[in-house]
Amino acid sequence: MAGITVLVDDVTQLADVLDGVDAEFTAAARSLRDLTPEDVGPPDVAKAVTDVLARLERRLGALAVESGDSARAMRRHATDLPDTEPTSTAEDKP
Amino acid sequence: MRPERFLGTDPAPGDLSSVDRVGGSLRAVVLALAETRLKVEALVGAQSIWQGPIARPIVAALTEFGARVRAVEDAVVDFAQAVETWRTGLVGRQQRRAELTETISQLAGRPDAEAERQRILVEVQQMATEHTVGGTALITASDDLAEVLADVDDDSDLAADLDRGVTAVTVAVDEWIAESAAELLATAESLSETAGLTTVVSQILGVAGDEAPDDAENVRRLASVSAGAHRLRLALRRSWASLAPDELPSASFAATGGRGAAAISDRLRGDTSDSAQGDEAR
Repeated sequence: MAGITVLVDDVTQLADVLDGVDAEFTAAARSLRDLTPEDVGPPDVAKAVTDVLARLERRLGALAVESGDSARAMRRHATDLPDTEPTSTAEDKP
Repeated sequence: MRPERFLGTDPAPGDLSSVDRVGGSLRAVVLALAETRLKVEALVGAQSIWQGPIARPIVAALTEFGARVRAVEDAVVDFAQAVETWRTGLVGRQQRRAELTETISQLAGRPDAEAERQRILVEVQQMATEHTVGGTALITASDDLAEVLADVDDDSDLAADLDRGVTAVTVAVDEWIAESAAELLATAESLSETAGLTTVVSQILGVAGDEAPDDAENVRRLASVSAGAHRLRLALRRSWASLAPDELPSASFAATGGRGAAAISDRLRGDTSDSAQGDEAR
């Protein structure tokens, strides 16, 4: 059943990377949320920058959610894969 | 010293520290996007386990996700460069603004300096125009980024795509195991009656370590006569058939012992030099 063991490891690795993506994007979105760019320049410039940073924050948040959902889906797969222990071993034999 | 008081207007409004905070956050965002994209791309790169037609939906889903991240990353890099350009212009203009403010403040109360005062006001007007042009460029860069962010596909569903892809791989592996399990299990049980399974498999696969010579010879002898070994050899050959060269060299357990002997994995790759080495050992 080595194939299944490898599959569990690889699906878990997928989940780990996607969890990392989720964490990175969540942190990046939070750093943008904390910005106050209302005085980077004249009002029209400041408004454009403020608006686009808010959009970027939302996009990063959406990518984080997508990654997190994918990681959870992969963990469900890894959990659902069958037990990898052999059903019969030399020790089991009389 | 407030410029409006002496120049009549502020030709270069903008808070440098605020611009710096925006620039710093954008750099952090670019870094996060680039690092995560590289990790996602590495999952499906040349060294990835996800190869072949069955794994293709997983590769496609992750590649598409990486491409979307890349599109955002490229657009944020462009915007960050526009912010940096704005910052550079802002620093220069505000420095000059301070100099002009200082100069015109010293001309106060001097009727003979009217010409100089007018020259400064003209320069202030030019600076205000330059500031407006720089601001327009930053607004354009903001609009460009907003457009890319809006274009990034909202309909994609990485979780669902990966879910389907992994389900397909799991089904394929299940089918392979169902096809091979009885034979492999019978082989393992048969081998375990005659020798340590791990040692024998290591010998068969050519990855045996430095056992005592007597033990290794004993294992080789048992493996060469075991009916179980024969079945395992058939099972391994069948499961690796897609990887094997057209002319698969015949595996001989009697030739797999000792240092420098050809490993069966080398034989499957068609490495004739190792095979020759193995023949010599035999």
